[in-house]
Amino acid sequence: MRWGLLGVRLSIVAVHLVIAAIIVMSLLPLATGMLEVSFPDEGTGEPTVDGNRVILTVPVDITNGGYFDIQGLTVKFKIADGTTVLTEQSSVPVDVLAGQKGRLDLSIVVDLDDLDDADLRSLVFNATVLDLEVGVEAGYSLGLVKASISADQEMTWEPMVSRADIDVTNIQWVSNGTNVDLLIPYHFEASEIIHGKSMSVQARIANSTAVLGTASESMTIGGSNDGELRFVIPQETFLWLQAHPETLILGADLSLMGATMHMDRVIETGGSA
Amino acid sequence: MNDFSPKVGNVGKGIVALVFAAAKYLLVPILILTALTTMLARVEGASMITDQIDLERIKFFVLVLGVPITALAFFRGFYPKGSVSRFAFAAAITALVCVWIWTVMMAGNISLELEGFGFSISFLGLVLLFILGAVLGGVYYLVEMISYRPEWLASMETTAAPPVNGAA
Repeated sequence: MRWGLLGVRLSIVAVHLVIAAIIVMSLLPLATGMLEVSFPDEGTGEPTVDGNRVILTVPVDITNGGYFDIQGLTVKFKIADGTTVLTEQSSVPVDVLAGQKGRLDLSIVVDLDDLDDADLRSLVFNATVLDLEVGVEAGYSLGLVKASISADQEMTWEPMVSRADIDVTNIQWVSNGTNVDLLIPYHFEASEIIHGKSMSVQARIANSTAVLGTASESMTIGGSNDGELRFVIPQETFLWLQAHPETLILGADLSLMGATMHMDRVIETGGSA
Repeated sequence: MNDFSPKVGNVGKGIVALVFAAAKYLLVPILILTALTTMLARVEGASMITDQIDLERIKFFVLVLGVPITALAFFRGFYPKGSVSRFAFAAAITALVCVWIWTVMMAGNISLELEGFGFSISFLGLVLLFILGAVLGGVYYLVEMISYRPEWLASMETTAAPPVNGAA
């Protein structure tokens, strides 16, 4: 018996058997759906706000019904608004043993401080469509195979502040004894995630030559928010406006979490007030 | 006669080795690749896959590497066990087979970018296992040469020795 030859031949057979076993045991669970990574609806809450950070928690369910452990499973998220990357998060790599189920809770954090003014304003005040890229990476088959899958989809972003308006059709002139208060109502709606936050409104009213008055309001945000901008107008200015047709420009800045939205409105005076 | 002399070989065994090598490294892979190409051509939208995984290019490499492997396999089968020539051709085949595996298996990396969906799989470890199998095949012929060498040398001496006077 030539033992050396037999030994090499058996080694070759063993290597080929190992290869065949790994391929079959890797492909079978994939073909039968025993390996699964899913994003369940339950557990995905509304985004929350912590300071100037918007946090969205996304649970990821992993089912490993295969024969090998899933090694270093990592879930990645990238959210972009056009070419601007708002956030890029990656979960801590985890191993999911064969025959086990696991859940990853991935926190997607958008730090509003990191955004430039235009992007911040877009997120706070505008509905927009964000690009969401989700990627899953993992090793399998004793680390011999590494796979990564990524999918792009669009994500509708609801504005934090919507329907903001200043109602210049319902302005009121109210005497405060020495001067006259010009009251202009405003309204906006806010998404749940910013309820309890503070929002400020800075406004000024001017004609073609001078600023006639300024107003400043600060409020704690609820669901539907109504308030009044109060401009203190000197008596003589008020009387002049009553007597003369004048086009006034009302400029208002709504500020929330560092983002500012500017609105301009036109008020016509001249005997009608 | 030396190890590479055509007189020591067996054409029949060479042809058997050639047929097996042709089936393993030429015919079956080309049949599989052709079937895959035809199948994908019929599937709507599969052009996105065939644009990124160039099956025709792989087929070309199967031909380019498979033909010399097949030709060399003839000589490996042709020369008897224990000869350096048999091992030399086996070693050359082993080297070519390693390149063949690396090329056909796309260096253990497949990446696909489809509409809104990307997929990448790295199976370098598996490719290296295949190459290990091929290298062991080469080692087999080395051990075979060492193991059969004394018998081969003895047979050569018998063939080359002049007839002894008075011998029966």
